[in-house]
Amino acid sequence: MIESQETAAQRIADALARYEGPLLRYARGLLGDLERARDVVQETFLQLCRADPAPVDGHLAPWLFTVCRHRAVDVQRKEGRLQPLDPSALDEQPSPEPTPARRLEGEDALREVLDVLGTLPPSQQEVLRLKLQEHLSYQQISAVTGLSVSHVGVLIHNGLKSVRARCAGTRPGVVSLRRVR
Amino acid sequence: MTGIDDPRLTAYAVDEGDAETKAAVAASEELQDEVEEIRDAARLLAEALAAEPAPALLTEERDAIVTAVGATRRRRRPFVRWSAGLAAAAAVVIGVVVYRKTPVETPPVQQPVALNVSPGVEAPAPSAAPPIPAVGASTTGKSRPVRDPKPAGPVVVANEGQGTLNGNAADLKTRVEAERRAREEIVRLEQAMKQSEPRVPVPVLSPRGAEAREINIQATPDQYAAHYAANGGVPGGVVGGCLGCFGRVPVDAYRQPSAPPNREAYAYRADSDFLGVTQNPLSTFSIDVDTASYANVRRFLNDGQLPPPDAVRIEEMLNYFPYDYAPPAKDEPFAAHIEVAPAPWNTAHRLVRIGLNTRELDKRPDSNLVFLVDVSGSMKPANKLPLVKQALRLLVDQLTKRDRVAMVVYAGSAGEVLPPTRGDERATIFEAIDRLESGGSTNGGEGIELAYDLAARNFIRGGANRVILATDGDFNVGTTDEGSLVRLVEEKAKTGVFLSVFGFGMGNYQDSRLEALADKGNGNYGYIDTVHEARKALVEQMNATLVTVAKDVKIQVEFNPAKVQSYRLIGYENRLLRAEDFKDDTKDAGEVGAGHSVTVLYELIPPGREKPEPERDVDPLAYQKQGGLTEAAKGGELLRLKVRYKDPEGQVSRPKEWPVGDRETKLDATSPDFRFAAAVAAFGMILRDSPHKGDATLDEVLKLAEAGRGPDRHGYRAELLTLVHKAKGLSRRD
Repeated sequence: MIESQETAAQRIADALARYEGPLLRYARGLLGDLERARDVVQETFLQLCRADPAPVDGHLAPWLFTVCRHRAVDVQRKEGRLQPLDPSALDEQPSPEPTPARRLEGEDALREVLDVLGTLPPSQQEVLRLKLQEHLSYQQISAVTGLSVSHVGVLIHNGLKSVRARCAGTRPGVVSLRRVR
Repeated sequence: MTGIDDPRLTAYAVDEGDAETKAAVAASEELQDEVEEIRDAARLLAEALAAEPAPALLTEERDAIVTAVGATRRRRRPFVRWSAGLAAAAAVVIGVVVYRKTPVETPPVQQPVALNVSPGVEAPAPSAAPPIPAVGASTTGKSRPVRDPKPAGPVVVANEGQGTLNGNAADLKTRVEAERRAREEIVRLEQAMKQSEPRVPVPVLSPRGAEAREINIQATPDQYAAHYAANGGVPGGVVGGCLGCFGRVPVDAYRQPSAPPNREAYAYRADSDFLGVTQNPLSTFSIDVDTASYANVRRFLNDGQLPPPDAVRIEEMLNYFPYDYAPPAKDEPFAAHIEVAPAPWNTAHRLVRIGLNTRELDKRPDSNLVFLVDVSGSMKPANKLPLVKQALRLLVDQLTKRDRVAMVVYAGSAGEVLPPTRGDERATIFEAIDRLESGGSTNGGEGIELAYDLAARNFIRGGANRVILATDGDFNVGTTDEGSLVRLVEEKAKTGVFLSVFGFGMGNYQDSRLEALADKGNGNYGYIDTVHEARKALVEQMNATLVTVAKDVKIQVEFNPAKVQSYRLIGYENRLLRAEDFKDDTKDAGEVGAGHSVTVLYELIPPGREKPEPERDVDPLAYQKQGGLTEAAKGGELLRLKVRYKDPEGQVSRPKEWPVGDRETKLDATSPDFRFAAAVAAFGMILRDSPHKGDATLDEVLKLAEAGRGPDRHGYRAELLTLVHKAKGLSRRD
């Protein structure tokens, strides 16, 4: 079945509207800077334009994250190694949108939990983001990352355990996080 | 459900649970509390993540995408223009390399993709569908699970039949050449990927990952649970267990850890503290010639990560490097090489380097080797089973007709794949190695039993009888409980068969388990991450790896209170023994191979310096008084080094003893080996962020290591220098 151009355009526009931000966030997490993340995400959407729509249908999110990840890994390979997130590089790339982070300045707990997240091993950060930020299932995360479902489970488990251990008591009255044994 | 520290519980808390967990939670209040706490943490994190700004594409980037929708629908502009016929013809022979060019200005990421096109068949549509879990859900039936370990690159077929015919013989030749280069590039890239695999998850599909893909994405909870179970559930025993605690001398024999362990992956070990000589005159420990930690630290640094402190074992880093110790005198099993000079990181302290080495063999004894190879699904990545095969071939190349080799594989079940074979029957052995394939889950216990049985049946008296285990340590069925696995190996070690454990491409969880296996199995443990490393362990240091010349080697140092106020053993934290264990021949300790050397560093505080020994708050004894110093203490000796060891097949230990004085040597008058060892220790202390690192800086480490580089025939020391540079780059970024 040949998709009409209008349908295709609408499909891509919908995908852009829904996943542009999430993919950029994800790619930035992998690559450490927004500029390369943009390249990767643009590539991802261009690939979506070229792709046969049928196999993608119904699996758009894992498809996009998988392609995005492959593109990011390609970039990493090409440039040698993954560079850890460099905060100064992020400062130079302000988001074009008003940053909710500013509005949250009083919310120390949220900032702290993100700080803690930033100290976790990259693989844990990645799966925690895919799970809790992009709401992918363990199955989908497994498909995107190529890790087994049980490995994903262990990474999320260990990641949350560290978060609990290190954010203990940061938000009295709101959440009670007990120190992990 | 094994306890509250279980990934299944976390999965349940984030709505990924299976029926079994649900039932377990329903039945236990403790689990319910735990689930609530996990949910709280997850909610907090999800809230924080939701509040993160979502970046956006630049307007022109978004426009380019929108334009591309129309463009790709209307016409696909081929980058490589040639006729369909020629392309197909060429492809039959060589495959086609197509370079994709994007319709907009983006960094020129050129992706070589080899496509095989059959003549007369139109090239596939330019779909770049990546592997997605769409089997069964696919509406076209075209998608299939992708098991190709190569990442699915974008595939654009530059073939619309509208190109100009410009192919000729020279053109074809150029393309063949281009394709060859592209393939080499892919191989190189994959090599590069391998190195970074554990830290930067790459799209390499383990078969278990592939299984996951074959499952319909809309799997029912039951299917999901079944899949989960088929994957061995969660290695709760591994993650939740007390890693590295079993069967070991307690770390805190002398001291309680000052902080709770905060990393899951590696057993926590506090740095040994300074101990006062009057109250602790004896320092006793088992030797350790393992080197795995260095290779692991190198992997982290090469991946652009500082290693977690607990992954850094200073004694294993020290012992990674060959030192230029003179061989022992004839008929002596050991020689001791001792140097004393100021500690570079605290010049008021003295640093004692004790080097022990054994003689190289003139002739390697006949070897009876049983390769025990993990072929479970997790071994599929290129840095695991394929590297194991390469490593085994390297080893087999060294064997002669006097040697015997057998091979056992284990996955879901274990089996003999090569009966005992003469070492010079290479073709047979290589063929068995080549046949190794990964698949299935891991039952380490059964394989170990079978391997030991084979080794025992072909025992060569006076020879090197050894089981060589190659695994990623991911035992997930059968005897998975570390305690019983270690006990099994400990039991088997009594048969006189030694064990070498080689970890390949491991994640973090198995590190302590493999080390414990090697410890208890009278063996050694190495981490092999590259062919280079395989060559070091199995070819260059083959005798040290295969031929044990002394077992249960223990060291006891007695310090002279007249010369030393307090001392600190650097590294060996998990090798400490009680003083009375030294002469207790039932207490297991480390093994040394032929030509091995062991390097030990002590940092000493001379009397009258800082840190007076803390007073023990005990009333003076009514009936005894403290004895004074002996005559020997007045003789000016600094310490006395005592070593006990057993012959490889012996049961009774023999003692050796060396008195040591301090000649007040200056640091720059020491041997290169001394300075290099000091550099390695300082580097390790910095990476561990040890409270004892003193003035040590990475720049100092570089200076010392450079001064101590010596001849460095194999380039090992040069490699350390590059790692220090990398660590410097990384710590600056923090």
